[in-house]
Formats: sequence, C-alpha cells, structure tokens
Amino acid sequence: MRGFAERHVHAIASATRRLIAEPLTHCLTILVIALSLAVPSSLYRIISDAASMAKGQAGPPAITVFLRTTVSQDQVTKLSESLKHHQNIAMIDFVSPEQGLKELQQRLGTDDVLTGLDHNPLPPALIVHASSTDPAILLALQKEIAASSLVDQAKLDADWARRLHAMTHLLEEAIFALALIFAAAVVIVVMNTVRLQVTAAREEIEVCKLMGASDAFVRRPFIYFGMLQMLLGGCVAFGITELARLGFNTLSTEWLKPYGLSFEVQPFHGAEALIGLLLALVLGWFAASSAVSSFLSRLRPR
Amino acid sequence: MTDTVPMIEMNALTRRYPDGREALHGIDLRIEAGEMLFLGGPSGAGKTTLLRLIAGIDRPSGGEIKLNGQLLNRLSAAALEALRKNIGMVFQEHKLLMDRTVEQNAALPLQIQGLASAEIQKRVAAALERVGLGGRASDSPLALSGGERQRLCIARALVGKPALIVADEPTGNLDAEYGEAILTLFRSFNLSGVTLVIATHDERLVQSLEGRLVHLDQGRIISDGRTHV
Repeated sequence: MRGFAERHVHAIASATRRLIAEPLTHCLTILVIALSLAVPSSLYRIISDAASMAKGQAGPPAITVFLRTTVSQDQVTKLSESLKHHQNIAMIDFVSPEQGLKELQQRLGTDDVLTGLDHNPLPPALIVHASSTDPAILLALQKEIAASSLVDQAKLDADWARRLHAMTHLLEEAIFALALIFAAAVVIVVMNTVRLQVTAAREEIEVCKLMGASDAFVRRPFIYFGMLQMLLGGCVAFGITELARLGFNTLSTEWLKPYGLSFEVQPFHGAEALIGLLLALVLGWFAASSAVSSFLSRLRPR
Repeated sequence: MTDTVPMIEMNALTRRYPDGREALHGIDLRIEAGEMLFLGGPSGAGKTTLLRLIAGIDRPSGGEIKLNGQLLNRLSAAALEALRKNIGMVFQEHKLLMDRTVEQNAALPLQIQGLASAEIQKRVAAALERVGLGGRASDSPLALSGGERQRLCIARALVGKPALIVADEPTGNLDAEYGEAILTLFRSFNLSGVTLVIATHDERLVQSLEGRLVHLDQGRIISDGRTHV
C-alpha cells in the first residue's frame, strides 16, 4: 500500500518537474486551456440566467381549469389539495366566480356585465402553475386534470409553452454544442503537449521498458502531467469567468438601469465549480492517456 | 543431460528480422544456474540478438527459449515485462539518464518494481558501494568517466538482486585496465551465485577469467568450451 502511494507521489513529482522545466511554454498552454474552458462556461452562465429571468418575467406555464358550476366549495378544496401534491405542479390559485366576474369587469371596463342575467354564470376556476416547461408534460397534465368529473374544461396556452420550451432547449443545445467543440479543442491541446513531452522522454521510456516497466508505470507521470495542466487551466478559467461575470454585471446594470430593468449573472456555486474541475480532470486524463498509449503502441525498445 | 531445470534453455532457436535477414539459425544452448558464460564472436554474429531473446525484449521467429523452465515464446508483453524486472541488464551504450543523478539512475529498476523508498535507498547505497561509486551518489552521470558510467550500469543491473545478469559488450568502450576491473566485478557477482551471460568481442579479456565461452558466427554456434585461464 505504501509502495502504491509512493509510486503515485513519485509520478506527481515527476509531472510537476516537467511542468516547471518549461514555465513559459506551459503557462501559454494553460492559458489556452483556460480560455477554451472559460468561453463556454461563461456563456452557459449568462444564457441560463437570462433564460431563468425570461421564464420569471413571463410566468410559469399555467393551465386554467374551469370547474363545473355544480361543484361545492368542499369538492373544490379537496381537488385543489390533491393537485397540490402532483410532481409537475408548482402552485395552484383558486378563482371564485365572484373574483372571476370582478376581473372580467376590470378587463372590459364596465360594471354592467350581468345586465339581463339573473345570476353570475361564471364557474369557479383553478389556475394550475406547472413546474415544467416541457410541452409534453404540460399536455399530459392538462389531459389528466380534464379527466376529473369535477372539471368542465382545462385550457392550456400550449403555443406559449412550446415557444418557451423550444427557445430554452435551442439555447441549451447551442451551449452544449459549443462546449463540445471547446472540449475537443482542449483535448487536442493537451494531447499535443503530452505527445511532445513523451517524444522528448523517448530515451527514458525506452530504458524503463527494457527494464520491465509496465505501460501503466510509463503512462502514470504523463497522465498526471495532463491532469495537472487541466487542473491549473480549470482554476485560471474559473478566475477568467468570475472577472467576465463582474465586468458583464457592471455593463448590464449601466445599460438596463435607465429602463428600470436589472439583470445580474450569478457566480458559479461550489458544486458547479467542483463538477467543472472534475470534468476538466477527466478530459486531461483522457487526452494524456490517449497520447501516451498511442506512443507506446508504436514503441519498439532498441 | 542433467535432470535439473536449466536457467536458460534454447532449442532450434531462430530469429529473423522483418526484412527477412536471419540473425540466428537453430541455436541449441543450455545455461545452468550459477554459470558465467561469455558469448564471443565478431560484430553481427548474433550476440546482441541472443541476449535480447534471453531478456525477453524480442521474440524468437522459430524454435523455443525457456527461462527457469518457462517458455518465453508465447508469453504476453506484460508477462515479459514482469520477467525483465528480475533480470539485470547491462547495455553496451550504457543507457543512463543524464538528467538524473547517479543514485536516481541506480534506483530506476527498484522504482519499476514498486519498492518503498526506504528500501530503495538502502539497496542503491549498497549497490553503489559495491561498484566503488559510493561517494558519487549525487553526481550527474555526465561527471563520470567511461569506466565509472559502466560501473553505474552494473550497479543498476545488480540493485534488484537478480539471479541472472545479461551484459552486452560491458567492456566495449573501455581500455584494458578498466575492462579487467569490470570483468573482475562480474566474477565477484558470479561467485556469489548470480548467473551471468556476457557478450563480448574482446576475447583477450575473457581469457583472463574462469568461465564458459560460446562462439557465435553468422548466427550459428561454432564452438562451446571453457576459457583458457
């Protein structure tokens, strides 16, 4: 166990020595990695916060449930209570016939809506706010609510729901595609750096192989080298993202304030930053591992 | 034929290069544990090829080679690597890492074996002491003379306490005085029970030591006898 730990400590020390041996070259590589990681992560942050703001301003997609005029208050309360526990429902508002009439009068700008009628014909209604913007989930929810014997009609503004969902989905896909492109760029950068390191260490690797070193023994310091580059690149990327966020927030406050609007991009929280760094490490491992394996498969010790 | 399993056994061993050239033709050779065997012959006789086959660096094209009764022909690359960890190797061109110290060079086989650093330090110090480089541990190999570099190679070969050491032209680049000193060092290992297979073209030096001398020429064994001390 101690030998195992020492092998890894030795490999990390060797990787660090390689990194320090050419500080300028590796600083530039780390900067390239950092920029490649910072661009998609900054865009992700801005677009996801903007989408949340848009959703917040437009309000969550709602289903207007018109109940039968014959239902009692007790039945309304029971139905409302059972819907509250539904996993796809965030909130329910009850609108009584009187409240509905008042809103109608306000909308029409007249008090004589009931002229010629002996009673208020409006039914009690529930405004069901869904927790999802997915049109498929909303339509299923509408169908489920409409199936109740107490419900006369359940109306959903499906077009708006579809538009909002399509818009956020498109943006998410665009960020994902961008992230993939930048991830590929990062992998290529690390692979190339590791390939250069491995080529420079050819003699050392040959000697180790002649003495019976396994592929894992040879690979280990180079994998740590790739992961170290990505770790440092990830940390610098985090700094760049924060600086960009602060700059963006200053500008957006300046531009939106005259219109009475405000929009601030939130910082990455701990878990997000940790996941980002772990992803960067996995990319570093993959890139370095591929570069060394490709070299070893062609190596014939002389 | 003896009943005991020889340390190395070759039967009709052939090695053909990818270009079709045959470096070894039907070699039959048996090396017992504790032997000190010299492989003599001119350049291109097949000495280095034979050593590489013994060390599991190359694979035979035909015939078979066994090490301690284990057939090497069909061993996986990983199994051959594991096998090489237990063979001490001295290379003609030293193959020292010039960006590391004498101590770090000697420690390399033990790091490959995955030994703990305290054990590595202990064994490296003993090996360097044995070859007379005890005071040069922190020096760069660049600061060593040709003879000292060769002794460092020998320290690196014996540090893993192998039962078998193969050496390719260990006195090749040295003058007679240093050459004799190196061979005397080998003789002392042999006396402590280590089997040695040494390829050399310098037969004058070989004749100064007790041992077995196998002559190769054009990939064939042309004589197998004792040195004439």
